[in-house]
Amino acid sequence: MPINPHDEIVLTLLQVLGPLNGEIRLLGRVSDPVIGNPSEREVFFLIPDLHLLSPQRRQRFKYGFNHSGSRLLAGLLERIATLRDSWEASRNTKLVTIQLGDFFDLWREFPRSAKPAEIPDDACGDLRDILYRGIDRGGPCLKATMLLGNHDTKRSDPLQEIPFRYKFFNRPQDEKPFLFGTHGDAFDILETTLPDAIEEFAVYFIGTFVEPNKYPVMEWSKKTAGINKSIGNLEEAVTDPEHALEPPGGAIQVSPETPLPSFVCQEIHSPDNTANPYFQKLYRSIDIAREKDLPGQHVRVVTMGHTHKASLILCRPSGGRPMLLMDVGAWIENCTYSLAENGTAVTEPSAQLGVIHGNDARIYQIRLLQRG
Amino acid sequence: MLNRIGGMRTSFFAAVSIVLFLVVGCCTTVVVHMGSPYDRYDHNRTRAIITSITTGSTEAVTRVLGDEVYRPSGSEYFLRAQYAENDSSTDILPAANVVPLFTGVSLPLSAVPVKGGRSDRDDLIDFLAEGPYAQVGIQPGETMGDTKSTRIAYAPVLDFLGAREHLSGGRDQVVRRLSSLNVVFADDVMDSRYRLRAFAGVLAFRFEKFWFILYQLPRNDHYSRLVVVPERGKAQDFPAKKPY
Repeated sequence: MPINPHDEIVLTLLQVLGPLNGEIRLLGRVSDPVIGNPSEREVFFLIPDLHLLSPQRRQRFKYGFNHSGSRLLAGLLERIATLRDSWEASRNTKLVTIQLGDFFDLWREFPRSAKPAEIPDDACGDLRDILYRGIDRGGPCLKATMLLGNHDTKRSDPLQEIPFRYKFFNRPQDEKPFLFGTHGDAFDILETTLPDAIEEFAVYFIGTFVEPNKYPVMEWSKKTAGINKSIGNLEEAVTDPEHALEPPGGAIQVSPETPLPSFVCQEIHSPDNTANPYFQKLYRSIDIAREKDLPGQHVRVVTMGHTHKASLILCRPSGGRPMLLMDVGAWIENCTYSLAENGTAVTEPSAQLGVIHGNDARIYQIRLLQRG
Repeated sequence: MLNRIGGMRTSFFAAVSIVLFLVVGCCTTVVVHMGSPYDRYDHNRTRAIITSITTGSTEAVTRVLGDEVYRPSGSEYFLRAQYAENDSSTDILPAANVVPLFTGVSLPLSAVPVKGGRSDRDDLIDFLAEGPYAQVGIQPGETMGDTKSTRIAYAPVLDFLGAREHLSGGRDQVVRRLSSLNVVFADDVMDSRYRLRAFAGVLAFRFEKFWFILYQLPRNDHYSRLVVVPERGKAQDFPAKKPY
């Protein structure tokens, strides 16, 4: 069987994961013409929220970017950059990398003034290099499209070194993009109604009690009301939350030879038929693009981050427009899901990646197994 | 009595504040800074350029530039210059890199597609659509923004720049024509590339999220070059994150 770009990505990731006793699990997949991608040339490699912090701030807030000690993500991306170069040389396949926002967590990094430029050069330097900075330093670089997340600014000032976009479409031949990406905060009612300063105040001064994707005091208090725990335990509960992910049939281990089911997703037949609070708003936004005759009207796949909860939701209304929502998750907090082989539920650090090639969209969970 | 004195003091401070506000407001000058090559749109990025391989060589290559051309260590695309004698540097940087300094997009703005690329107008739209923080002045991104919305939003300026008669007649006439387009004029331009005295006229105006800077050469009857740089305001812009 000829190896396809998905297999090459998996092989490349496993070259790094193998020596670390790691593996890849499939959290979601839709392999179907419903995706509407006419091109086989591009491979879209999607990296979700990272919320990078300097070590001092990480200690203060007791949460942070998963697997930072082993440099796991940087190692994976460095190997992917090598694959990108070989594809560039062959001119047949092009790797397009997108980081979906909330790369740095400037809200937590800076208590008061907006001084993003004070981040030390070597703070998370390996990830900055491999995603966007390496091109200026002569090193390997993915030249990623970096989306602007709500945590990427301090009082609305971004880190100047990062080439931010508000959103992206794939570059089609015919001005009909199938793929749209946004961080997701523009569809979050809290984000769009509360001033940044209030949200940042809540995050910073109640920092250790506030999970990274919940900001205002009122929201925090609602959360605490639902958790019957002492204040001491509560801190752990909200800074180390678990996102229950439920891939149908359990998460299959992925290797290049493994046949995978074509649909590992939540399938709905109406945009209001899901508990996901973003789906309906995003679906409606594509409708508005259609009403305005804009390129967004052609979009079949919407990819986002922001929620930290990986999910794949396919809506196929009878006679209506299909849409796939691909929330790629995060590399902070924890996720819980069951393994396909024995149904055992596991809880482990979130470490998710998304890949789209042709009409095949996937979300992977990167696992590091305990040694011995 | 005390109340009266207090009231007089309040009135006095209010009056002083208003005067200060007016003075400061009147004296504020708007200066446009040129920005780095990545922020600055000064050439059609899809247009190949022709350059000599080595100094004095008659052999030439045609290439479309990538971001790596402007990195401090130089690139394989262009020559590097070294000091004739050793200097005190301990790093690996050359003394200088030979890189293109673009003189600006030709005006009137052309809508004619170029071989293997986009027209100047369409490439500018592509640049604008990626937003003011994208840093894509040298090389277009591998993804894109909403070019159709951008084309509609910037149509008044793009159409203006596409007609030679709009750009002729001297500064006052061009300013008068532009004033109907809801633009903001700059008082001064800081051009990191050239001395402004090289030009007979420089006119900068802001429309939406970008500054458009027009250059007129001596003995030319119209503004004939364009550079576009982003206005770096506050970054969060929720409507811009939506697909419409």
